[in-house]
Amino acid sequence: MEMRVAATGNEIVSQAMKQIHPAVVAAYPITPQTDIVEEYSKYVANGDVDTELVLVESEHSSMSVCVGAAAAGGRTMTATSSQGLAYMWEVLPIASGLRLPIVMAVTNRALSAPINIHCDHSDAMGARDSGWIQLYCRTAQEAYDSMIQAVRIAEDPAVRLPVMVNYDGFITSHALVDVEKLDDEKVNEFIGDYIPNFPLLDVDHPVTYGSLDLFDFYMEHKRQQAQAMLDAPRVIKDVGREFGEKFGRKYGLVNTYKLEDAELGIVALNSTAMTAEVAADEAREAGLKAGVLSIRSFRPFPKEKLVDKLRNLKAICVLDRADSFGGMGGPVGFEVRSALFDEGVKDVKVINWIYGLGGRDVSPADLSTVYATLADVARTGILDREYGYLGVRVD
Amino acid sequence: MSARPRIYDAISPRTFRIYDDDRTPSLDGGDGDQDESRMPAGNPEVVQEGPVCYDGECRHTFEAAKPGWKAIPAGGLNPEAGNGARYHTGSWRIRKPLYRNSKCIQCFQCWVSCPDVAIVVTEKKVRGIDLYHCKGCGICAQVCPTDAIMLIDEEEDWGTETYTQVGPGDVINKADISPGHPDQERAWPYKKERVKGGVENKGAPQ
Repeated sequence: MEMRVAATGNEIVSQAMKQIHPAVVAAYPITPQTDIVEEYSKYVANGDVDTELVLVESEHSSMSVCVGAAAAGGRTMTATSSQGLAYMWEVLPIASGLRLPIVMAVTNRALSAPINIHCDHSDAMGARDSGWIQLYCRTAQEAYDSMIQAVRIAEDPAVRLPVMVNYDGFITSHALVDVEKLDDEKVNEFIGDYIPNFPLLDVDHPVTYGSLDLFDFYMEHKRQQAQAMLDAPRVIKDVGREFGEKFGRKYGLVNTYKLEDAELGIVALNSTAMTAEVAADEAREAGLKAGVLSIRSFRPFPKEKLVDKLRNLKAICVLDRADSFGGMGGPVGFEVRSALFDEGVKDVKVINWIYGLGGRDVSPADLSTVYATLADVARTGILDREYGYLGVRVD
Repeated sequence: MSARPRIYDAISPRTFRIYDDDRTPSLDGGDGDQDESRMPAGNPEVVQEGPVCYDGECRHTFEAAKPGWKAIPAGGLNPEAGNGARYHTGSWRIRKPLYRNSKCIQCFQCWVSCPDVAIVVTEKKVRGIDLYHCKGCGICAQVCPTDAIMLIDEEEDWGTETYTQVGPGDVINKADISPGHPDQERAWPYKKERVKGGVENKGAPQ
């Protein structure tokens, strides 16, 4: 049923898109996303798919085309990265506000300036509040599986929101790895037919998209969106469970590694969680009870699940690959602290370190220093570096 | 009915009813294996204790008369075609067009150019302006080759029923300024002023 292939993250994501076979793909190239659409354009040119591939002049246009195509009634996908996502920003809340189930791959890359093409999460964190569901993937396999699941999640009648599938630029997008690929028919069967809501091309039943919506109705529409996000975790879990039952790889809202008996934990997104697992093993060899939690669904944020997993730890380090300059740490740090505070968890010491900006390498040795610091925090109970930069040069 | 409406028929009740059931919202998605008692109870709405009133008049009456968030189509979509006819877009206007049948040569340029549908045409003839919907943009006056349409101030009263006012269900009421009427004389200085102001007036008689 499954086929093991050697592919980069971008190649396998473009193959997922080929299997999903959307009606419209509108995209603009940007490193490190480019080869997704490059591959996909080959499928179009070779006649493997009959997708309408719209090669637009900017990301603002690519998302605008996606909004139009999704409203017209077609399954619609795109992909972007970094400045492209930033340029797309204006149209992101329109896609979510119109409840259009667009699926977008985001290969996470740093934002300019200074210009940098390598991985961090400042692009996706900038779009954190745009009303899109954000899934974060540790590996190319997860990116492939999540692209397929994202279609189901986005199109679920209780959700009807666009989904961003994030994975690390170059680290995941360009590394050649061993991936299990599903049969085309199995993917087709899993995602099912796309049933559009109020398609504009249903000319017998005309609808207006984007009416002026002032103080008398706007807030009600935003409340609907909030409900969609409140209902989304159930759908993400259901789809992840069904995927696991059918294909053997189960997905949920968070991933954990040796957290059951752990005292020290690292919370991270994307590929760093895998590096942290190596560091956790090393820390355990050194006698520390180390574990890892990675958040798969950052939007919606899995507050209860996360607190359940973290409440018995002594100290945790939330690793943020994006800073919120002038804030009280990084974006993931805010959420984790708020979740623990809301649930009345006061005994877990939390530090929040910024790392890996602009693709700065993060090795298991770096994360071992995190566990060593956490061991100190747990032993002394003193928090003196709750906000810090990991791996930055100091004169 | 064609075959296509099936999609609509299948979907529209679902879209409207997405929020009909009283699911308890949970940030964790209500996993079956999870303790139900850990779910946050109730909806996130803040229930106000009594209305907030100013000077004895409840400002929430207007909002309360409208449907709640569960009852309206998602995404701000408007599935009712043509309901803009009920909307009084003419309420924004600060200048209104004045239509004079005596100068009109029935070229239909105003009808073609009107960004709304405010040029009233019956029996293949332009009859006047629908002031219920006309936003006063003035394009009709600009394109009119004979100055049969010009803009006057909204408050200005020319004393005669020179324009058509149409609301939902209203009967079209047309009238004309008869040749030699003093109002015609008033129109010319207005036009000169407009040309002086730098606005081009194509095809206007000298």
